[in-house]
Amino acid sequence: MSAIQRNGSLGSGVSRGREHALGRARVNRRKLLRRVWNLRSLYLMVIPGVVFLFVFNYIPMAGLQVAFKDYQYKLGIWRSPWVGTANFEFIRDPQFWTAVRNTFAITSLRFIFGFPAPIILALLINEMRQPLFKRFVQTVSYIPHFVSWIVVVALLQVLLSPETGAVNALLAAVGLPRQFFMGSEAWFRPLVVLSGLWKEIGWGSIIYLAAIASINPELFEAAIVEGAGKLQQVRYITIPSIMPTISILLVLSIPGLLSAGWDQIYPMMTPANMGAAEVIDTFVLRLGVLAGKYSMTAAIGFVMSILSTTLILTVNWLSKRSGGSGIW
Amino acid sequence: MTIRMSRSERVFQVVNSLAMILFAFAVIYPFWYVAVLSLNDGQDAMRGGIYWWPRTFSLVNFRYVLASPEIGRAFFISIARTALGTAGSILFTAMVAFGLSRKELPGRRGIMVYVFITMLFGGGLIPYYLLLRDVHLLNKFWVYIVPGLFGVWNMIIMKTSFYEIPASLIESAMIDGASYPAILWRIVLPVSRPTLAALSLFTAVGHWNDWFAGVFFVNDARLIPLQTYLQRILSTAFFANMAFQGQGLVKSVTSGISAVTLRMATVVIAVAPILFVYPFVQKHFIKGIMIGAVKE
Repeated sequence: MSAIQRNGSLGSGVSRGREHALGRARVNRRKLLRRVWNLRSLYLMVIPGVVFLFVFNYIPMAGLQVAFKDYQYKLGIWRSPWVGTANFEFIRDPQFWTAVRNTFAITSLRFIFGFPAPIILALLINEMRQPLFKRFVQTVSYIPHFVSWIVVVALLQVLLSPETGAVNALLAAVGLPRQFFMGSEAWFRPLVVLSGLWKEIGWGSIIYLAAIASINPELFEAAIVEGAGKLQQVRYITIPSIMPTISILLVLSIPGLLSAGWDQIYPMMTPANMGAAEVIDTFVLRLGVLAGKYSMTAAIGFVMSILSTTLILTVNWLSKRSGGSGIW
Repeated sequence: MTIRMSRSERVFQVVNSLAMILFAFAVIYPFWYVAVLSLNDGQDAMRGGIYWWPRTFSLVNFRYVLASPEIGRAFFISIARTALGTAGSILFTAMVAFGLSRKELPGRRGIMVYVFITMLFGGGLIPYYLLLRDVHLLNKFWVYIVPGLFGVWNMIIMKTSFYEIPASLIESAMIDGASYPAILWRIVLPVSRPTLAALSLFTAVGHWNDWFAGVFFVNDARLIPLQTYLQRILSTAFFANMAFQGQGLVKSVTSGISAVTLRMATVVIAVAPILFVYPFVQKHFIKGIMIGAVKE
């Protein structure tokens, strides 16, 4: 397109410019449509993805309106009557707040212990000097990641069984009293954190090990010459070098603070430890899917979605602000 | 390396090695314990005291479990959903990823924003559940497959890896008159095999280990996968087992089984495929993680 075509006629009359603009628009649209038609096989490959996301992601977003409605099955989502903020009465329910407390307790503990643990493991594995032993430990450490939480809970149940479990046998052997671990509220949070660590510490260490392996060895050699001990090397070389990896993973793990999840918690719940075990996700699960109180649980879900998105955006903005990288 | 280690370094090495041995033990022992219990006579196991080796070796638990039709069905459902779900998901997602990796596609930016928004905001469980109900996926086998066909994370990883393919490869195919689907099938997919292998592995593991859909989206007992079956026998039997600990179930006095050892045999069956396949696939996923991580 020549400069004159792009900028419109230079001078005589606005009307001629507008005619040219309209003509240009029509020509451009035709060109675009022809391009689309030529690439139709490509579009046919992409459209299913668009449709999929529309059905499984965007329609549920619209389904959030149930939070403001009195959902009745026969009327469906769209025709059920609006009730304003009546569903948000869950704020008055003390069980809800117990679930909130448990959620944040669990996610905070998980984060405090679960975030540094793979880093520490990576540092320790990195120091191993026998290659076969090192490979063995690494390979073994990934296995728990590949089994389901149901299996892990089964393992917990047998190991911690009061009469026949190995752990209690150990306690009894050193004179400590036997504990009914799986049935006690006090033990629930430690068990959640420990089992989470057991399952994910090996897998989480992979990425840190890779990052550590890519540090220039000359840095370490120089440090050793200067007389730096192991701890100093870690503090002044290793950690700063893997800081980009750490900060990305940190940002990615922040949204997880809002959700304790079903996968691990639900199988571990028993009538005896419910007081510490009920988290927001299981609360929604039991009252919503199982008991059918869709309106109220949708309202809870609405609040959690808003909080989660706000958190992601805030953390990403903060991270960029302080010079780190964002997720996008 | 023949650098002499200082005393403190030697101490550290010893302590670290001990710690690593302890760690490896902590990972392996639970599985060992389960296997030992499952291979032990049920009644004998209830008396406790078995930690390292079966005291009364017996295959009766496995015989009992393998004889039940439920576990065979659940196993079959798990295999079917893992195979179909993984293949379907990888192919579907790769198809979309390929389309979006072509820079000549008008509107690509807009579609990427559309896709990305779904990673930021969601409706939560209840609207999703209501949707599943409205599209009649509840209580059907396809509820395991269809919602998993498109994975946004996987698509992003695939798209990035497709960028790396030399443009000349694709261009020469286009000059030869190849259509986009042909390019995808004959060039892009084979070339991307490492990435696709890693992603397939993760997807397959996800399918195999999912217990949630079978519990909450399916009512028909014939449609539940293995992990859901395991979850059921773990939870219902749990406290009943506690109550019966001292007395023993009436049935099992004569048959040599007990709730605990039966469950352990089921766990072994649920875990065995993963442990069996694990050594073969181990080298693939390391590469896969690296690809995913570097691209971030």
